[in-house]
Amino acid sequence: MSEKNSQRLIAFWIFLAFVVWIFAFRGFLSSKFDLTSDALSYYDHTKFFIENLAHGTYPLWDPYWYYGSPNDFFLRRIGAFNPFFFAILILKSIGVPYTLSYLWFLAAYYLGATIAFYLLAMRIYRDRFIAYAGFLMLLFSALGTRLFDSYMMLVTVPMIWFFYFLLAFCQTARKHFFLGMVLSLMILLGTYIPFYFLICLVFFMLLFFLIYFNQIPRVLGGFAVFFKENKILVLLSMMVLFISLLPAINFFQNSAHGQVVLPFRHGDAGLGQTLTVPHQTLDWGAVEDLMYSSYFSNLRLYKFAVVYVPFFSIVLFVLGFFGEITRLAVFVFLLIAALFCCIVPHGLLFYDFFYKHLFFLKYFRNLHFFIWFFLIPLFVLLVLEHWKIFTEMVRTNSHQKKLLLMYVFGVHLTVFLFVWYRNDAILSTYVMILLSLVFWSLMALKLLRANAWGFALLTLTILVQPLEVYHYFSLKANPHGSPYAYDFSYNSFKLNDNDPAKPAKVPSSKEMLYYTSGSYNFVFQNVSDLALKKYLQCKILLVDRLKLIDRAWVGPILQQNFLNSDNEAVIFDDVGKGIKSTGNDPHPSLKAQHVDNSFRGFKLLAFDANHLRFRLDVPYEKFLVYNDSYDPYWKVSINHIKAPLMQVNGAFKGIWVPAGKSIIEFSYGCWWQYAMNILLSIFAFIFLMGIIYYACFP
Amino acid sequence: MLVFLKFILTRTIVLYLACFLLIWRILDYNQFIDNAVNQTMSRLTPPMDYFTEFVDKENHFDRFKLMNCLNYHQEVAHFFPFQKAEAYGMLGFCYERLGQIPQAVASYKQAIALNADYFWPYYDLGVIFYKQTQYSQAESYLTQALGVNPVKTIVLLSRSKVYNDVNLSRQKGPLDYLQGLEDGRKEAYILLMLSKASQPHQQGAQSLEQYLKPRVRFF
Repeated sequence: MSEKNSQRLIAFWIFLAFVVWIFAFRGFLSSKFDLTSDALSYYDHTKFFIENLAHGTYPLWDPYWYYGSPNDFFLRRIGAFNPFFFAILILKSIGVPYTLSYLWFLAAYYLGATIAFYLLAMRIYRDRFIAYAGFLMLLFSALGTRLFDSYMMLVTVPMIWFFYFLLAFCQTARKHFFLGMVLSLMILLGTYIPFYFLICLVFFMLLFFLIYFNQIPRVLGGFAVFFKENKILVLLSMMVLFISLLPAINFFQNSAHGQVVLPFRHGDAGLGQTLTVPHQTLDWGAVEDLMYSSYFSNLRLYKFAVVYVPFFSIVLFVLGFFGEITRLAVFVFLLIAALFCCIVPHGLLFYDFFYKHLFFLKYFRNLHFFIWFFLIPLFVLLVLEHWKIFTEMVRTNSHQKKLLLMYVFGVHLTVFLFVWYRNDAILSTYVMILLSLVFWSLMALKLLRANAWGFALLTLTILVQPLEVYHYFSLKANPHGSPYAYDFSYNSFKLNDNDPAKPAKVPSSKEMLYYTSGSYNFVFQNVSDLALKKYLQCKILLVDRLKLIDRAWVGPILQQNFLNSDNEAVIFDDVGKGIKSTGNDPHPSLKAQHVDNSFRGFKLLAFDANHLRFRLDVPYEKFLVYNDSYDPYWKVSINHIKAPLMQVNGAFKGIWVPAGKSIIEFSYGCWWQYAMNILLSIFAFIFLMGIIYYACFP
Repeated sequence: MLVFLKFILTRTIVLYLACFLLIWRILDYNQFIDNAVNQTMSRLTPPMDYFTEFVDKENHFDRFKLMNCLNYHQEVAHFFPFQKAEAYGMLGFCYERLGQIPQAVASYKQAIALNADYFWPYYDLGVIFYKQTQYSQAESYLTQALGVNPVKTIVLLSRSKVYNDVNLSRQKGPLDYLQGLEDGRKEAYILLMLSKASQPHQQGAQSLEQYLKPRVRFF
């Protein structure tokens, strides 16, 4: 078969596999089923980001998250420099609803990673059959289910692309491979926890140096030649990579100063950095995830977060047991083993040692994510290497062929007996074993080729089991009913926050908030929910007096103030000294004045995530309280003249407003924050265009 | 010999075994497994509403929930030897509701083998055999049920986390184990009489059976 035909054939089978995958997850991809767990939060914050971008705003502040929080955390989580998010915008602009746009983007993004995996396997094995099998096993692994309950893809996808570009660049130093590496790295380093990837990269490099030491001069030589020929490109890329770390560093510093807090995550990890996590949150690790998954060996019960790779991979893994070991098998296996051993906090010494001596291990938990980020793709790669090992066992001698056939039969019989003994396998498992026996027997006899029939048999063998598994999985999915939190009309400014349909932002009972501004958390923890709920129904208040209070006593006073709607605002005495404390109203009322829809002197002029501008007409000088969290990056101006902004009522923003008509403008962020984020997004886009350009016109 | 040795040492499985043995050597197995078992069991515990399939519903069970409960109790029986008897009792109950009677019988028998002073598995076996019109077997198990010291069953149930989890999920509030056992013993006695008569189609027996509606129970 010619190379062109072969490419067409593989493109067809990849397309077909993806259609089957869409069919298996059609309930989720058509929004018939709910997103759950972390996926919900990522859906919301991506929506917020994308919709703001569409309106020309780079959202550094989220006014809807617990009465205002810096949005940097969520931008880091979603990896805001990722140029592929623009696909959602494009889909939206052609009329696809946001929910579907987002879900289809996720699906396409995931497919991209599996294609990258195929390309990676092609670079390693130069065999379309093997690479296609790897593509299928990864596509139909449990990774795909995590699109709908987690955010794994945002790390896994650029990680797979990075390693593909890295390998390709090592083999042939081309510009688009280099740019691909830079873009993947940018996306990975831009996240608030790049440590998962960095740990994997360090282990990868260490083992590479150890096992492929004789290749290193060649690889480094290739790098040096490329650098000499493309100095500007390399230096510019290095500079952009460095800049892409800055938003994460800035976020890190803000959290160190208490501007943002993560009480739920931080727990009792001590008084240090709010990003640190206590050791006990590591109790659920990779071992627990695997043990938990083993409980679902009856795949009828399959659900989210259960580790699963099509069972064909196990058969293949066993088939390669008695083949001759290869360097790549040693490399991949040791990488899996080393990563696994270093992320087990109980029973092995390594993790505790690293936890004590490596600062960044204190900043992240969820060690079981390593399984999803790295170990599943690595396992599939190891299985592919077993395929290669097995094919090297195939001989032309008829006696040896018979022996090999017996070996294939023996392996399948062993697997069959194991499955049968467990007594809980689904029907498709037995079908798969049978098809696998046929497939490997034909392979042993050298009767199977990489033609349409070969691909059809391989596809059927791998997919028969996952299709049944995902059928059971869909049966248990929650139907999509009520809108998600950010599906409400969130881009509007409301003076009254008492929309009964909207989810309550003050939880009904005291709990640890996941992420919020330090100031709001302070009030939330020191004031009853009832008082806070009552107070926060109104977005803007006018009062006549300021009361200076010691921070230690502020809780009960705020509580009283909030419940009674007193005509005064509370300010901390350590920052409020010398500040004017009363207005000039000769007959001040007992209660605070609520600026609601019936208030005639208020007119909203502009509102977006980072700004609020309105006209206010008051007969006397008043102190205005804007019930949106205070943050040092907020600035305020009255009639275009900068004015001092105060932290009032524990958490919110306040300012003295003169009598008469004024135009008041609150704005968030410094120019360099916007410049840095926008510049990085532009660079990411340029790199993407560069990859496409140099790939098409090398 | 050297060729053979080289052949053996260059097999992939040898690398895996060597690596496995090395990790095993440096692994603190107890610490490793204790945390994993505790954490896993804690996550595996089905939500409260799954247990209501046991206590609040007599018909129209949610198969998926029951299967989850079944798997959970299998794991309890596997990991926690001190709760094995009750776990098998619950397993028998799940199997019976799922219509898998041979597995239910085997589980109840296993529960009895693990703790002979446990009233309910005897009773449930009696009910199953009675329903299958195997009266002599039913008679045997019901006689043994009535021979069990009720205090020992009450102590077992009161101390059991397995029972506690299920009982707490009851929407109408927790059941009184003592009252349940008293009722169970009465029903066992009536069923025993019916089994002895071995003629459930007789009018008197039929009316008794109608009144009793024999069904498996676990408290």
